[in-house]
Amino acid sequence: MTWIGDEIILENATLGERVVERTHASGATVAFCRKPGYLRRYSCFSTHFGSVDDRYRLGSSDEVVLPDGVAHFLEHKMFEGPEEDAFQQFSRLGAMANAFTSFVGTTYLFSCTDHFYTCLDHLISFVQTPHFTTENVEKEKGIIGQEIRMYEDHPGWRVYFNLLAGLYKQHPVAKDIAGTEKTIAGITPQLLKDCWSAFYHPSNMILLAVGDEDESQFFEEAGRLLSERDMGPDPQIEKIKTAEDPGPASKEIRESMQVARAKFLIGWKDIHDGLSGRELMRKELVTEVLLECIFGQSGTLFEDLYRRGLIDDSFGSSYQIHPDVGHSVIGGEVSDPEATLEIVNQEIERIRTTGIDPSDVERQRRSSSGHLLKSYNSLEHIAGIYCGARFQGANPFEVVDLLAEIGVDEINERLQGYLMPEEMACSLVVPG
Amino acid sequence: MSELASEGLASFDSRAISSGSFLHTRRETRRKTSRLRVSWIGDLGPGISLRCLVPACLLRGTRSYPSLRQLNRRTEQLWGLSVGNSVDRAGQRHVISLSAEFPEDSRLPGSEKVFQDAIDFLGEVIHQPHLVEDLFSAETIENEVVQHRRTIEGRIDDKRSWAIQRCVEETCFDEPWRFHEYGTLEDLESATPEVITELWRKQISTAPMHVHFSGDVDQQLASEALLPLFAGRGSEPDQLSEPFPLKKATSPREITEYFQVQQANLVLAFRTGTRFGDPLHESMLVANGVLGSFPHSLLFTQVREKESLCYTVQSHNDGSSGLMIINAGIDGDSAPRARISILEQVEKVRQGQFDDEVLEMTLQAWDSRLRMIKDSPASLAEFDLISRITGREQDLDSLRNRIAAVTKEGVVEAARRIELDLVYLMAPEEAP
Repeated sequence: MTWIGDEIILENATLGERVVERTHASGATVAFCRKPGYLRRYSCFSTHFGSVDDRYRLGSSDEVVLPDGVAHFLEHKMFEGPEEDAFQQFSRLGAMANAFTSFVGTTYLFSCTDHFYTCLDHLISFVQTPHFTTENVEKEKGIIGQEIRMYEDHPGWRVYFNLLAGLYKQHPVAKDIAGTEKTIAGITPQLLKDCWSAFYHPSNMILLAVGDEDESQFFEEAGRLLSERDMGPDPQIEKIKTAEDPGPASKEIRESMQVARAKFLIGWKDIHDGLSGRELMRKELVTEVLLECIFGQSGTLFEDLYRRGLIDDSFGSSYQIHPDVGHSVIGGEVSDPEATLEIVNQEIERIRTTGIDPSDVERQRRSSSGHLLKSYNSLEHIAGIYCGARFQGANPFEVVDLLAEIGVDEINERLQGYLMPEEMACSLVVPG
Repeated sequence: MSELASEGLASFDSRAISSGSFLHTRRETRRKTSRLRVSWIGDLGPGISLRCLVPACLLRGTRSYPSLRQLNRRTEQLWGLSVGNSVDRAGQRHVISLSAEFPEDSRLPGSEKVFQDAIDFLGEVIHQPHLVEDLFSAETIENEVVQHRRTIEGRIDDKRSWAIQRCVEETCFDEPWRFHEYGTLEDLESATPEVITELWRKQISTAPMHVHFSGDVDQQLASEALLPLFAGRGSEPDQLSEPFPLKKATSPREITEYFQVQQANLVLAFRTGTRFGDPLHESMLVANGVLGSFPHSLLFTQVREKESLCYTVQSHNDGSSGLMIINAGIDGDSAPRARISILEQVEKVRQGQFDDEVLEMTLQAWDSRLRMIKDSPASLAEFDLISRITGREQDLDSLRNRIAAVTKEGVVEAARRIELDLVYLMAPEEAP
């Protein structure tokens, strides 16, 4: 038996998109989204194992605590095979392979114009065939060490991760995805093998293809390829969460670098309990609309700060949500952080009192609809949106209905008790 | 309309509206948004920072939407129409562009439409900016000078591109390629409402102008709707400078500069003696690919993977200036070793000491890279525009055929023209 249960069809008429999803006997979620006329094909194999997964337990065994940067280290090492690395196999087919590690997942991907199924075979094979030796693990520490240093020289990266360190007291979201040279020093082949066995089991993974291929052929090939290796039973991973206490770890983190202009971020933390699916998506959307209404380029705050010369086009906002925590971030390149902070806090208080203008919400609804359409032009975005939503137990298309549903009252309600000074932290990278 | 025969996709249907004014349209049925790019071409040289201010001032307000806030509200109303400005260099030319993307009418709910409103809005941005007594306001100029000054000063925040630019400036100290597209701080001092308003008037009337449009709109209708963007074009377009001759390498020079960085950046500049239109140009592109622009290239497999000397290493060939630039992010202490190793790889290409398979992979990768351009209207417009202004082959499939015909002998012949001209090192400051 190749497949378990019925196929699930996720579709949305407004977006004109359809994703077909099946569960492979190995436990893997396999999904396909057809994009007629596109020459590129994109496929990814993603595991729900990212930098926040720093503690776990298998069945009834003892808790395992991982050093920072393991998920990312594993991502680097998976490309290595006994004969040659996986990049070579894709290059030979004119395809491009890559991988990235985020807070919540690790994604291996390729894009190609030809030889799609041979590439798909390579993708599944290399992700399911680890090759860790003492020598190749030690060598990788040098390469990752350089990558870490590269990010240490990246002011945008520094200011963001410093902000997370300021916002969070315990939660692993604050940890640098690549770890530090110190934390990766102790990584061994056995540790990587253990993590791979736990988190790279198909039951923890999604295989997705986006492109102009035949749907039934895709499922037939994917089913066959996933059946080639016996990956054993589901290891029953229990990810152990770290509870976060209210209030920031530090009100302000300041670092000096050789930069021309200060980079300034303000963040607010959110703590919630076990959000998932539609509920989580709704909170994310409501918060994003709220942030856009207050801090967006069509607001009075942006215009005021821009005309005073305090900010530039880089000023923006974002919200990132996890099942247990979330944070809003605003900022960019700022010439006078103290003055900017004061004006920002005044504006939040003003809007908390007056409420958001319903016409602002209506405009954001139209604007967000347009942006959503645009995002479905890109194969990578479709993959990112789909995997992100599925890891959170949500239907990626539900955002369309939610966008139609949410109203100004809900947005105003969200603002009460949020963006409060006591939950705020600031991060500054200053010239020095 | 011409067809990209092998995939049945529309290429741009181009026509001259007047001397120096060109409209390029193509029907794109695969996507959910239309894309428009309007570009004006000038020469790189002194004074270009003032030209950079023109599109920024245009996006500050129009006659109907005179403030930044009103302008941004209008874009939200237009279903999140995204509009932005960019400045680029292509060979010895300076390119100023406004780009916009908005949903296809067919994707909007009910009888909603946006196409005509979006084009009208863009037309107003270009031709009817918010003026005070026929001039951009002093406040707008003051704001945009401050913003652009910061952009220029902020270049140093990206250490890798700073190192590459410094290397090019030193290598080409008397050639047009040395100019950065943002221009210089000194030039900005002469910005006044009169100067910038006059530059805007000249730009829209006499600077060579290209409009690229891709969307699911009837070609005839699209052309008619886009014609008003060419309003006020003069009959005598600006004459651009003659192609600057290629220079040969002198005896290699070395420059080391010290910065507050964790990672050193090593940049090697080579003269290739070939450019667009040269019979060896495509062979040089492939030689560069064998050397360092793909994961299977020698720089990646040897300098990074085998010797573990860096995280990033790549080579780039510029078909206008005839420069080949190799850059690597390395540990400061490894600079001498990295340099030796990089030069060894160059020598291997010169001596033909690479596997046939590496050549095969490079040809495949180049073909795939060029085909993928066809999936992206923005990339197609970029390819078409840059080809037209630099003298590169304009037809993607012809370029693909010419690259596919490159032989190992051709690669070796091209690589033997490569001569080292300058070695630039951005080194970490010594600890005090």
